[in-house]
Amino acid sequence: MIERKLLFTGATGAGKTTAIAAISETKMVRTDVPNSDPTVSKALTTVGLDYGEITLDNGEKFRLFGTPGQQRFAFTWPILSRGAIGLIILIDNSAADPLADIVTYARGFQPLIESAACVVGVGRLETHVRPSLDDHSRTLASVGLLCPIIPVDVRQKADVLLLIDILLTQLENKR
Amino acid sequence: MEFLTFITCNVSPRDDLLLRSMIRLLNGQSKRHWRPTDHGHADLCFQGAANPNDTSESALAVVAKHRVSLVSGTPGANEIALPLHVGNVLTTLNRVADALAASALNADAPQRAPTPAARAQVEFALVRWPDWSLLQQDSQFLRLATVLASRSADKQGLADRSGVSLECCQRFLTALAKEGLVRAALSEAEPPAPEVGGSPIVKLVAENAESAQASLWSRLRRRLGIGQPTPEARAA
Repeated sequence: MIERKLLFTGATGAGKTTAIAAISETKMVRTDVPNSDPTVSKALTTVGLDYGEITLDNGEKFRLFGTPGQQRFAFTWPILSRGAIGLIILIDNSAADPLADIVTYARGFQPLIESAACVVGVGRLETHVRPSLDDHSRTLASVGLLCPIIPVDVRQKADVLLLIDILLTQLENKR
Repeated sequence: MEFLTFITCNVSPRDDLLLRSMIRLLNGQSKRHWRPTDHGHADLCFQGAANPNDTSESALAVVAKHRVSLVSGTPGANEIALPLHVGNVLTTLNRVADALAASALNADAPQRAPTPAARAQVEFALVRWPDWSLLQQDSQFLRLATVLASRSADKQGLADRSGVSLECCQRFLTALAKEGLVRAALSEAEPPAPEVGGSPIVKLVAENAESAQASLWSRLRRRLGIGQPTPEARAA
């Protein structure tokens, strides 16, 4: 059976868990533990995978995976990428260096981005206007990638759906 | 409609074709309507250096009210940089139109119909993702940018794939050009679809796989209640 899946990635606190929970029809399988990183202001953090599901009208399961945020788990990225239809990168604009984050995930998932589709959602822009979306765009271009980049609040289901809409539009138009 | 004319002289065939196609596309956005002429008298001559020793009668006979040279380095006054950029061409056309109007030298030159070469398509590709402020200028711009980020397209192709009107596509491309976010290139003929094995069964499997992909996108959209698939996806 072919596994259909979509990946969410991004730094710790970017909202991967929240985004998947917004659209998963099953109870999220979470692997959160108490956060031991003093630089990140959240009580729990994901050390494994987040997992959710959507059942399509033909009964087929569509799987939603959230990768661990920490770069030390980068070895899992190629494994998770196998068979994924695309990638949603979530960036926390209040993080110490959001532009470095976007480069990390763009490079880490470059084979998937080039072979499938990718969209970047930048959060907390309302309180942290710098770097701007244009700065993110220039940074992506500097590593040779062109992906849609939009402002998001992943607590809003509509924003998560917009990310997926953009991803599907790309897939429908790929050569 | 009153229009201005342009001609090219010593411009490489590729840039000649590109210029003509860009100017045709920009008509409606530029201050004045421009038409190509091969007659030798024109309001504007784009002067290239493709064949500097060209002393043919036709090359020497070009009489133009304004000349703009195509240069490889940093352009100066009355110069335009190579490779050609839609935004620079638009700026040049408007600057010359203003100059002609100012000097009351806007009499029409003799006309001819566009050459077959001028009917070639120019495909546009995004240089990078546009800033959010540009995408908010029109509710369709986000969709158009997404389609163009996926693959380069000519104006008609962009309209077909996005389901957005040609007029809106034109506005979008013009907005991109003003920000230097679009790159134009002559379209190449679509390569023939690769042969998928010799067996009809293998071909059928490949077609089914493609159809299954399109069907998956449609099912996801239905399940999540998002957007409308593109015309191509609807047809699949």
